[in-house]
Amino acid sequence: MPSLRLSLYLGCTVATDEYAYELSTLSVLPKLGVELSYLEGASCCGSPLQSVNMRASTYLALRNLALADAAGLDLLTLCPGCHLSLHEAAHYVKLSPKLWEGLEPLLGNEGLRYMGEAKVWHVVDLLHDKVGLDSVRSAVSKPLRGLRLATHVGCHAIRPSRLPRVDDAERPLKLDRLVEALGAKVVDYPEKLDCCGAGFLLGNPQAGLTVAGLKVKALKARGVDGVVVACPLCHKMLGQKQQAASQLVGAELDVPVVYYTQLLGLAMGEDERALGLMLNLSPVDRLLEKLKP
Amino acid sequence: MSQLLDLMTNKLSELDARRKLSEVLGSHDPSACYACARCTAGCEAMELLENFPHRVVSLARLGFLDELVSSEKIWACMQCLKCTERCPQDVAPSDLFLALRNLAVKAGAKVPEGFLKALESIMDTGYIQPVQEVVSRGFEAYTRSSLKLREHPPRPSDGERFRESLMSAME
Repeated sequence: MPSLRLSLYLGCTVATDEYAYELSTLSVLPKLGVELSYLEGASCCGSPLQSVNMRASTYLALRNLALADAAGLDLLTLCPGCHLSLHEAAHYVKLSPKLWEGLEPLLGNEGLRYMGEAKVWHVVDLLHDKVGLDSVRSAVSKPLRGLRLATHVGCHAIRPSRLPRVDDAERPLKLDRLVEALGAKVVDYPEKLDCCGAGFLLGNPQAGLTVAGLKVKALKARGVDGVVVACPLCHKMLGQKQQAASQLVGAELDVPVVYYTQLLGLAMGEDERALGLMLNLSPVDRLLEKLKP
Repeated sequence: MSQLLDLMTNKLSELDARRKLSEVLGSHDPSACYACARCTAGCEAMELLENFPHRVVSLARLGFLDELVSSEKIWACMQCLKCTERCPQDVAPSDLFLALRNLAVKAGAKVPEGFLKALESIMDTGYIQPVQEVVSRGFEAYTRSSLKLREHPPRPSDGERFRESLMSAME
């Protein structure tokens, strides 16, 4: 298997809170020939500051892209929000010479230079488009037969399609294919493209939890064994805050939510703790139970 | 276009609204909106908080920026981006919400505290919050180091210069 080398960019949520995503990524990707080294000097991607100051937000994204250029490797994001923010910044500076002229010296002040050379990947398109479904399939030692799973791709992974995104805006199937490659069955559902509510975390947390609760409620009604996500904020909303959300939507919610990288690790026979599965606050034990021979 | 008065709110429209918005919005132009309300039809915030993106676009198109920046409406959006994806006129309502929030911050209007806290933390640590200790499903506490992740995630190598640049970018 030809080796791929990338800079790993964590973003705020994974770096400070959603450690299971980082743990599982670091345990499975190297086994698929993806060599990762942390992007040193990295910071927030700017996404949360878009509401405060677009220019500052673009600056944050650019400085991370400049760091990736300096490292000389393509960049891997775990969070679709970061993936979008980085692509947006590259688009905005191309669109507006005035913006670029204003920000370039600020990068210089940090000793950075943005050249736009590093390509930005997300786990899902890296595994689907670059590593390939065949390699994923051949890494599986314990197929997840009998599991019925739903996928939740995350808004920022697929929209807006005027920028390069991870998957199709209205019919995203890459994550589905990746789950199927592990031997599980993927269940389609009408609310698939709906949001997890994380965009409300800073401005109106209660509304955000309601959005999350309604989505999990819909998923529960489909009778799925679990939900697969590839975004730290979606995991936080649909999984970690599921109990708080259940109170807002008047339903008992008990749907296991896992990261794709965790699911992949399970299918590869990795240790549950190495995948950070003890950190998932949704009832993943039920899902793990179904995998026992 | 001459100045208009909103009889509901007693607010006046602004004549250079288009210029002000275009400074933040780039190529998207609310004046291209023909009010098909496709944005509103798919809006999850509309279902929950009765926010109607096409109405916000209309108010912006007519120049009622002053009314919008002090309105709760512009914060009742979770940036799921469906409206922007589906707008047949490339108006990008979700981007308009961001532009109006930027103007609200500049005007010193009421801004949800979470955003300002996030800014403060980014200035301090590079991230929206400090590194957290987390609790597992079995109620055990974990830190990055006890999970065998490296103790400190990457961060700007020169915090002072990082803050300087970020501050200047805000102007």
